[in-house]
Formats: sequence, structure tokens, C-alpha cells
Amino acid sequence: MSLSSPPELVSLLQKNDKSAKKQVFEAYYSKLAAISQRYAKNQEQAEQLINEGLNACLIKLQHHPAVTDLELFIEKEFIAAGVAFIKNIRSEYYVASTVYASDPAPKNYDLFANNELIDFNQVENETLVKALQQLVPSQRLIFNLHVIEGYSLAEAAALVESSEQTVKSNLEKARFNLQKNIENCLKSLKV
Amino acid sequence: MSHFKYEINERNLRMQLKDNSVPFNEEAWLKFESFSATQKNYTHENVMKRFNVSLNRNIILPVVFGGVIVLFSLLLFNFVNIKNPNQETADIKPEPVVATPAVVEKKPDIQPPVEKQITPAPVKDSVVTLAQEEVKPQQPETTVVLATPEKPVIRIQKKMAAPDTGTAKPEAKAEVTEVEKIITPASAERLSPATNTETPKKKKKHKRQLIVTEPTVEEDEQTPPPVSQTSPAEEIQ
Repeated sequence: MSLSSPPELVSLLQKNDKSAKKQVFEAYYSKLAAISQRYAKNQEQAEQLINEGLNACLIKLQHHPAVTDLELFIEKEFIAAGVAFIKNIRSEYYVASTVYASDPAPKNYDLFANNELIDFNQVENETLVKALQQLVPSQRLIFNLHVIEGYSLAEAAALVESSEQTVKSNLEKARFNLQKNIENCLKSLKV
Repeated sequence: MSHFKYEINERNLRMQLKDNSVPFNEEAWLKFESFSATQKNYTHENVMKRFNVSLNRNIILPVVFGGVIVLFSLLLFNFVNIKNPNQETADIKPEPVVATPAVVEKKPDIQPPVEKQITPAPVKDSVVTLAQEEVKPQQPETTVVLATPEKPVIRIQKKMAAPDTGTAKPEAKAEVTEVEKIITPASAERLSPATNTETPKKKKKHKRQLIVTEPTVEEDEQTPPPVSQTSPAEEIQ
């Protein structure tokens, strides 16, 4: 299938053309799927997010006919849709904050037991994604927006609809928890 | 003071995660297609849900209550008939009277002045006879058209003299004599005594009828009330 030029593709999408939709899906699926995996907590939620996000992008594209850079437009709209999708799943906040008192955590008093050096620059993609998915949604959102997408704290706060101070504290917690999660993931892989 | 040391290089992490990609599979497209097909109806429903008319409660409630009161009063008004049935019959009867205005319009040129002259007189037989004698020579409303070689048509209309006085005015008589002088022989034929006397006679008859038909005080006292031919039972009905 020959890929249409962006203006033609946009005009076809505005007419709700099925072949144009498929062209866009094939062209941007790999990138959008990677983004959705970072934002979601598991594979199932990532699939749901890619469907909802891309559908929202196509609907918005019908109302914005003058789009020059289709890739940039879709990526930006997909991230906005992803943020809205994660924010709407309120149940995860309560699940993440649940503490089980019956879980006996083994206490290690040996200060030199876990001093194994970890090179964080050599961590595989799967481990990194898994560590990210284990973060609390609010922390995951801020880390993705600020660190990976490159949004400023103010822009991220506006997207998440919270104060900049909250975003800052969530980012600090996300950094701490991500490192811990990567360590735990590497440990579990070794075992 | 925390002993935590952040060791992750965020620039490397960003490059690594940005370059990450997932291979395309047909199953994902089928899932997306089915999802977008179901989502169309959902978006339409959302549009309908978003349609809000922002009206204040303080406006809506009085309007609704007012409407209820008006409707209820209209309902009661339909059930209760305030009109009197006798009035309804009276409203229906005068219609045939309205239907014959043309007959009434023909007469007023002749009748109204005559009635004014004659009717106000006090009602006595002797007076009535005198009034009839005085009305005869005046010929109240005859119009005479004169044709002369210099002036083609001259229309003269005699003014009515007051009949109540019982004596004819000398001026009116003088006018009549002047008119008689101007009349040409040709027109004199038209104004022959036979033709002249015909129109006033008719009027006289008419006047007599009017005078006779009018009820007087004395007649009302003398004559008994008219006896109705219908039986009392029919009258009640």
C-alpha cells in the first residue's frame, strides 16, 4: 500500500476513510505503542490506551484541517489523551496506597549485604518499562512528561491539572521509586 | 539527611525509551477497528449529554408554576359556563334584522323630514285634520328642473316650511310664484296638474298612514289592549 502524503491523508481522514485510518495506524503504531507502554501499568491497559488515544487523535484531526506536521500532531494529542486516560482511572490510587500488615518484610541489618554496584545505563528496555509501570500513576505521569517527553514542570502541572509544587514532589518520589524498582527488577532477574 | 543517591542518567534513559518501538501486528488493527466502530455512537451520546441550556432555577420555577396555574384556570373556565342561555338566544335572533339593511336605506331621503314635521304634533283629531290641510299646498320635496336656452339646466329645490305653526310663510309662497313665472311652455307640459298632484297624493297617503298608525294617549286610554289569538298554554311555551 502506497502511503499518501500528509495533506492527502488528512483530507481522507476528515472524510472518515477506512484505508487512510489503516495507513495512519500502520505508520504510527510502533511509536504510539511504546509510549502507551510507558504510561500504562500493564500490557492490557496499554492496548486500551492505544485504542482510545489514537481514536481521540483521529477525531481531533477532523476538526483541525490545517495540520502540517501530522506526526507531531498525533504524538502530542496521543500524550494528552494518555494523561486523560490515566487520570480517569482513579481506582489505581487506592490500590497502590494499600498496605498489607500481614506481609512480613525481612529486615536486613547487614549494611554491606546489598552493596553490589548496578550500572543503570546498561539496563534493558524491558526492565526500564517494567520499573516505570510499577510506579504510582501520578508519579509515572510526571516522570514521563518531564523526564522523557521533555515538558517543563509548569507544562506538566497544567496537563495533570495540579500545582507545580505537587508535581515537583511527585517527580522526586518517582525518581527514588524508579531506581528502587530497577534494583528490585534486576534482583528478581538474577534470582 | 537522606543517604539516597540518584544514579540514573536521565538523558540516556530518555534516548533509550524514545527509541523503543513495538512491532505492528494485524490483531492490534482489528481491535482498533472494532473499538472505533463502537466509539462512534458513544461520541454522539456524549454530544447530546453535553447539550445544556443554562437557565436559572429562579426563572424556571416561577414560569412553571405560572403555567400550571394558567392551565388549571383554563380547565376550570372550560367546565364552568358563565353565560346565560337566554342571552344566547337573544344574540342569535337579531341576525335576520341585520340581513335587510338595503330596504331601510332606500327610504330616508323622503321619510325622515316628514316624520319630524308631523309626528311631534299633539294628538287630537281636530289638529290632525288641520295639519293635513296645511301640508297640501306646500308640496315639500318636489324638485323642478328648468331648461332655458341660456342656462341649460337649473335645479331648484324648495325648502320645507315649518308645519307646526299652522300657517304657511309668505316667502315660500313668493318663491313658488317666481318659479312658476320662469317655467317654459315645454316644461309646463311636464309639470301638468295631473302629474304634479300624483306624487304629493302618494305622500299624503303615506303621511296619513303614519299619523293613523301612531298611538296616542287618548287612543291608548280608550282602546282595549289587543287580544292575542293564541291560547295561554301556547304563550307559556
